[in-house]
Amino acid sequence: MTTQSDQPVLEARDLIKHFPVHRLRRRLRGRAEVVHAVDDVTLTLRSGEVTALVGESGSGKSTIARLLAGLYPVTSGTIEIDGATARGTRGRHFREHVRRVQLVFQDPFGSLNPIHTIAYHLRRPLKVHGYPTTRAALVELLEQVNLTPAEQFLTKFPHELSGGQLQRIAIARALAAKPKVLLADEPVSMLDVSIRLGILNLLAGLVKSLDLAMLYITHDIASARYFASTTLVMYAGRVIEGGPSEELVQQPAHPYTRLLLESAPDPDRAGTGPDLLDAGEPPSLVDPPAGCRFHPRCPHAMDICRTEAPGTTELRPGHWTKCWLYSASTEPVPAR
Amino acid sequence: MAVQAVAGATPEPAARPEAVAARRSWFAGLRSAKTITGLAILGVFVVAGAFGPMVWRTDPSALSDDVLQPPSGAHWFGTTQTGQDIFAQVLVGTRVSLLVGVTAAVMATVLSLIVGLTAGYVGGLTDELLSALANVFLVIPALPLVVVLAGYLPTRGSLTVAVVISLTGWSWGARILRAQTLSIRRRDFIEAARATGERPARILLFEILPNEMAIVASSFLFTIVFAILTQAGLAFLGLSDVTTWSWGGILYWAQNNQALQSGAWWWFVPPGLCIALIGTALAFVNFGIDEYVNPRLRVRGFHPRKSRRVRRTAPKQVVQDAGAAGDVLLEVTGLRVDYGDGPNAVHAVDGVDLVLRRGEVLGVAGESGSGKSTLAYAITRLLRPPGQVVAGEIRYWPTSAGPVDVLKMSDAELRAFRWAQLAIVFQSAMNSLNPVLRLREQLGDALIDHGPGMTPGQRQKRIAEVMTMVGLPTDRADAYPHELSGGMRQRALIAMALVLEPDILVLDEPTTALDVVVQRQILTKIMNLREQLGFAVVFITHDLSLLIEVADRIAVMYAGRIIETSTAKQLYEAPRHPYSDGLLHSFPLLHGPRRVLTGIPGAPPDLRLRSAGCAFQPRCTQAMAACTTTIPLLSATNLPTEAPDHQVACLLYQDGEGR
Amino acid sequence: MRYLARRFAFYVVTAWAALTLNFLIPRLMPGDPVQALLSRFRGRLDPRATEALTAMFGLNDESMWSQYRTYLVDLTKGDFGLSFTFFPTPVSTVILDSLLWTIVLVGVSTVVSFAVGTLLGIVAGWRRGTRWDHLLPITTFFSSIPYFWFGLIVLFVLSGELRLFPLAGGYSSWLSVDFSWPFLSSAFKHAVLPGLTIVVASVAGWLIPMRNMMVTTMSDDYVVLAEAKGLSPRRVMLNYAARNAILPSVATFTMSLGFVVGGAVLTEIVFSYPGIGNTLYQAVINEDFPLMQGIFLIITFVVLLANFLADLVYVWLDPRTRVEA
Repeated sequence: MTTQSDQPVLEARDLIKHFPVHRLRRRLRGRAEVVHAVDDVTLTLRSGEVTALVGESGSGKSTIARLLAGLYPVTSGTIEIDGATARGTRGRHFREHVRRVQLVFQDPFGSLNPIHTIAYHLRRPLKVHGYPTTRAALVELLEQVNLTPAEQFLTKFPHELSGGQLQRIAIARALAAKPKVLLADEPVSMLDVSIRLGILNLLAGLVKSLDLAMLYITHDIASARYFASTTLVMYAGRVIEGGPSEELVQQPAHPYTRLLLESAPDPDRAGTGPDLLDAGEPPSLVDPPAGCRFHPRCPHAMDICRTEAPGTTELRPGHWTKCWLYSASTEPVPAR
Repeated sequence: MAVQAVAGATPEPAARPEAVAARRSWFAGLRSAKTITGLAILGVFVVAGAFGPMVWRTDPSALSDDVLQPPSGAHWFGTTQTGQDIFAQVLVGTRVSLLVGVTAAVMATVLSLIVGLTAGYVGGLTDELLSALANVFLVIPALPLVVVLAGYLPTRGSLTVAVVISLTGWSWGARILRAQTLSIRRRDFIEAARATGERPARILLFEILPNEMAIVASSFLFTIVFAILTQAGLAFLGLSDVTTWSWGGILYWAQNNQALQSGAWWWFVPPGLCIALIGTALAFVNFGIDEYVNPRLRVRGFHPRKSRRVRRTAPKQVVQDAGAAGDVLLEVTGLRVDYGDGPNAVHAVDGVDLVLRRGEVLGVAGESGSGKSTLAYAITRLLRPPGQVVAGEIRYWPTSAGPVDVLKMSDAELRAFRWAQLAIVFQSAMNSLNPVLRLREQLGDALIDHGPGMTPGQRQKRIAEVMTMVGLPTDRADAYPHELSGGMRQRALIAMALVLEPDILVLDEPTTALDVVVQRQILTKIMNLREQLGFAVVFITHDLSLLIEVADRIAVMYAGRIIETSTAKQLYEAPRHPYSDGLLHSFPLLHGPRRVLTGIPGAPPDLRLRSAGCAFQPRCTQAMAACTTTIPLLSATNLPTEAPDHQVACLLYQDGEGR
Repeated sequence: MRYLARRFAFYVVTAWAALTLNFLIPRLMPGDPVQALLSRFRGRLDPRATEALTAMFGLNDESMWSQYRTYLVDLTKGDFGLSFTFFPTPVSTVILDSLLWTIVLVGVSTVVSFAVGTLLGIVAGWRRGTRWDHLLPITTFFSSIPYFWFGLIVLFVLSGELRLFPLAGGYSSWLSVDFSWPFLSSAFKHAVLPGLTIVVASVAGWLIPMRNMMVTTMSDDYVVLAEAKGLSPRRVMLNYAARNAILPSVATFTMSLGFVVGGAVLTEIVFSYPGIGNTLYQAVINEDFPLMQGIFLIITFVVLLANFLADLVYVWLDPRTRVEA
């Protein structure tokens, strides 16, 4: 999709994840209801590049992170790392997988165990993946995330540190496994505004210096533009548009992407912005709308949108969308 | 504890003081009078049980001629019908009963740990089956089951009895441990441990179990009491080896020898009292654990009916004669809010002056620790101890009469003022709605309590009106909160706030929990309603970029003070304070060149560490020597072209030294 | 009403589990207790009783499975075997004679205790930090007292020393059991002390959790918002705080009820009350195993029924259980 020639580090194809609702009881009643958390998602991560995955809460973006991290088994689809298919969410294959793919969580206060010291949190991944757990190794990890003087952090407990410091520890823990892929699930949304950029800039630096492939998951499309070279937009379990971040933000194609951009806070906009009173709310994923899942909220919905899910249309090299408005021609319909 | 030592040694900025407080409460809990009493009583019994029989060498079974003697120097607790020494019996009984209790509790706790942890961690069918098993044992009444079990026992020694008791006493612990394991398993740090590559067994034992120790301890103590009581009951029925002296065994003999009828109170009073005392002692220790697990139980001196008023009034520092302008609605002067008392008090709001004019949107922006939410709670007088207003005035200007100080209102005046004049919308809509009442009741009860004389018909009409106003279908009035989507709940809260047509609407992060699109819808709705109804808004948020869009004027808070205030436009175009400037450059934008943004170095302030100078100075790139010693006051800048209502608390813009 | 259907299914399973336990205990206990029992009773018992016992415990070489089937079939016919204390009265008759006494006594005491404890808990939680806090240590002490011991003390002081109440029994012995005024008033007089004992000893079990839940609930956002709405304190306390705080109390009714029933059974012995507790005591003294087991089953069934009633109340109180999905 991009012009770069290097091989992708991680490739996920046609990922589907359905969560059963009330397993036992439903099975007894012969009706297997599922949450269609992720449907038909394909994505590629490359070394030294940040790919952003933008969506609202409940759109399935965090589920994708957990699928890629091997924490949940996929319902169907494949995840390949360096060309080899990942197998299993437990045992030896799983550890082999997580050594290469690491996850940073949203809530720094919740992702560190309150009863363990910082040193413990850093020592464990080193030990699990067979690296030396010397003090020097721990210090090196902390210095990688700009926590200095490193020594003073080792004996601390999580509650003694600020949110920004904790998130740096969490990143250091992810780096301890020396991964090739770093998945960051809303890594700054729980942090104070003034320190968010510090963390984002740190991650950007790590991507360059360690040649990491990174998936940046966020609900803030402006930060995706700032931070990622490629952006994917998710809605109700499906990726509906993808492309170079700048182009996607300046020339959004899918009506949902446009809605998202119109809704984002923008100090340059006068007044209260566009009237979005009737834009509705995302659908239930237990019983998602047929056809295009955005059609109940879409101002441009046509008959076909209600019955058939749109396929992928390439608008320009690397910029594509799944929308019937574009399926006939590649000319974008002007925004309303 | 190592934790305590570390926490005490280096005071580091901690964003979550309550977490620190929770750790320290181990000691606070143990220091409470009840816990100490409990531990003391427990200690006496343990010593008496362990060493008593060695010291008081009378054989508890030895018969003598001193029959049915009341307590005396020779027989402290008197004698039985056959002249046995009751004190000796009670001493041995202490040992036996405690041993049975502890043994049964150890076995029951091990059993409940195995079942609870497995069910909670493995989940799925295993969980369904194990929890069903635990629930079955919980529902079957324990005593009759123990009676049947004990009845068939070939021998009824203390150990056997303990085993039987543990078989019926494990289910409660298993149930709460399962619930606890489930909730911990959903925490991020467990998923993080998995993502690290940790094995399940290790996660269970090293990540989950240590976090449950308080609950295990509490359940263990609880089971000891249960076991002692059950053993006493069995012995009383004659279903344990009553030739071994236990507290229940003594009661058995007392009952069978008509101690009651012969007036020998000394025979049955001591053993029962011992049981009651040890039960009380263990319950007291459990109170300490409860308070550790649930910190809300710890706060004392709280009494909602007596909302505290200002204790002392600071000298008035009126910035400008606001009343003269005529359009002032709410005027906050010199407001200070402390958490706690004395030298350790944290100044969460430290001298805030604010003016809210009729119909305007006043934005208050700040990060964690800025005091913005405390300010909202102080204005609405919803602060709860240890938070208290220690100085300042909050003057409300009704349209017709002179100003009234909200902080000096009586309880009745305050109730009348609330909602009718000032309404508030909290951040979390789900938590702000009463889960068991229909929307109609929650919208209507303010009308009942505030609007005497309104007929039910008028009330229903008003409810339908406000619902339509915020865009809620009126047929949702009979819905319960859990039947509404997140956006609808937030609308319901706004409808609720408008039901009495207040002059002031305080919005405390009203849209933070919502998605971008829904957030935009709600905001637009509020702003449209404001134009329609003319109320003034105090909009409190961490999102400065949002405020610039919607607010007329903005006050930026840092470490309990307002550090800059001006119109939204001026603030956006020419922020003066280095913090406002840094904050404005912390938001990636959707337009314009993609350039590297830096944010602000360092961490948000820790209010427990008071500085002599500007609180922002440690993070400020333009700090001067004077900044470490002088606290700058909010005042007009020395820039000649500045608008007069643009005020900054920064030495960069002040001639000479601040005070 | 999926929630209620689920609860009901659970009680059916529990009842079955209790039945099966009851069947298995005598057969699986170490040391062959039944054989030992029979040899102990040899000569003392009516031969027909021995025969009944042999059949009941399956000592006549039937397979375990067919024994189990016979056992279940007999139970559905209300046949719990023959009591040998009151031989040849069937166990079911013995139990029925005493059951009503217990249900009335324990039922009324439990309802009173729940009401009083919950109300006091509401007020104690609402008035936290005032003198109401002293209620806590006092009631804790009372909750740790063995019911039967407290009964002894009450009996000693109020009946023995002060002669305010009758010493024993469920009614004056010269009266016949009917619905006449003298009988009912006598029965009431006899029930006051045991009832009081149960109430006092069990009230803390409702009070303390209720108080703690009130305190926890009071810092919930919706209670704070109710206060911000300027509602009357009574409405905030009852409709907002207490209305939610009571839910866990009702939900954990199960466990508390088990305790109360266990304690109440022993209390009856102290007061020689003609209820099921006293019958159990007789059964234990006389090693009347059929009766003991029958009592275990009956108490379990009654407790299950009471739990189902508590579930009905819970569904009525919490709309979230009524979700159909």
